[in-house]
Amino acid sequence: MNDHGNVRIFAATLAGLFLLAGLPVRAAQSPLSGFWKLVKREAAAPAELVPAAAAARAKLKARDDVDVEDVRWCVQQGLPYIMENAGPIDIIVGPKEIAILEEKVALPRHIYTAGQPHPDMTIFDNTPVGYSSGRWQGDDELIVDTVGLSAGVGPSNAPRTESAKISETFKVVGDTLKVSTTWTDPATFRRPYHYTLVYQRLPANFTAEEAYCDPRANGVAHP
Amino acid sequence: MSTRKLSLTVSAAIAAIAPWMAVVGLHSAVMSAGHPDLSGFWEPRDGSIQNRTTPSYTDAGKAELKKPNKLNDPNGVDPVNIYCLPLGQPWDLYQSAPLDIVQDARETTIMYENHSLPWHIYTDGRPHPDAAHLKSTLNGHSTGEWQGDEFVVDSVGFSSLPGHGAVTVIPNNQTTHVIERFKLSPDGKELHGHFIIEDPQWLTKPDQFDVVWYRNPPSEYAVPNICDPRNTANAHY
Repeated sequence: MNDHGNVRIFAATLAGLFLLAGLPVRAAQSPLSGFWKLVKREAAAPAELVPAAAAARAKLKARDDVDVEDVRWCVQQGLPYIMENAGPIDIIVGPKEIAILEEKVALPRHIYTAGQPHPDMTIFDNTPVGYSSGRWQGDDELIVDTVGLSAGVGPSNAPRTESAKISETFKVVGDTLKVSTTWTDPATFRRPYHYTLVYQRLPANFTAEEAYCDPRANGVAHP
Repeated sequence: MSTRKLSLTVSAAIAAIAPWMAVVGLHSAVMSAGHPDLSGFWEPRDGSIQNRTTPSYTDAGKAELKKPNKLNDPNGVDPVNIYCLPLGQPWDLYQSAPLDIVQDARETTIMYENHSLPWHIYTDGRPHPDAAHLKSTLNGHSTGEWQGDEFVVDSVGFSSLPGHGAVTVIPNNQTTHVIERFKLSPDGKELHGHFIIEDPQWLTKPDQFDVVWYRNPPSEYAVPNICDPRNTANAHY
């Protein structure tokens, strides 16, 4: 083990001693924690759909139409809307779970990172956000796998089906967060569909807006 | 002694006293930030709301109570449920659905599984915005801090939007001030909350009560309740 590793072990054990003594110890803040604004979406290649999915997409209204219809009625959205269309995201990095909160008509994301028992997917009720488990790779990469999604609208207007799986890698470099995303769904894609979302960190004093949605006002958010 | 040898020695010492920690329950009550670990899923039970004072209403509060609301409407109409309007804190904290608490040094959130809005509790030391910059919202503007082993949340800047108020069925308003103190039981299995509701518009003195939540097993996961007003009964547009 190198000196860097020794120092980390020493710091961890020293923190343990402080805890035992009841002294305050401030945990290092994950660089992932904070408010982030989407600035770019990069895809090396367009999504290649299987014929049935292409036909389904043709029958669907354009993605915006579908989402605007649901959002107009204040129906909380899931993935990929949360990561791409719901305004700034707020990532809170807890010891057992990471929460991703959004501003506009969307469900919160719960990413379980402590090896929680995986639910029995045979009785799991699929949802627009599915079930996400995460693991750290090194100090600065978070790998998130999501299953259990309900049918809806997926990336690039493609159908989202219950067989979809999403793999995401979150990596922070400076004030930039890149989320490399892969959707795998044999019912929709000929091959896994990759794209990367690039976010910029918002100022530390950023305060979340609150989008209160009232369908009687035709989904117009008002404070 | 080298750094590594010292570390191993300290680790051995911790390992030696770990069983004692387990006996007194300390292991479940600490987290890496040096504070009690409130994170996880919590659920109230029958009788969880305790020691509630009888609200002492102002004349304006008494008049407000006489307006149609979900309690005095003979048809039991609650627009919040009919139109899937977002639920806000503190009301949603002591309803039947589970809460999920996630904390880091910068912020805490408490997520309610029914249709609600994200609750941001800033713990980075920022104050509430001054009156000129305070935007009224359903959840208000919330700051949190640890006072010993209690997590204390202070909220101001509430709007009067539907979503159930802090004072029974009366909407919140810009004078509503909520103080919530959260404390873990010694065995880590219960979360105790003390609520103080100040509202000079509706109350002549603060309303206070306690709430107890019970920790759900680690296998618990969020089950979002998606409310679609197109599917709710009695919705009229």
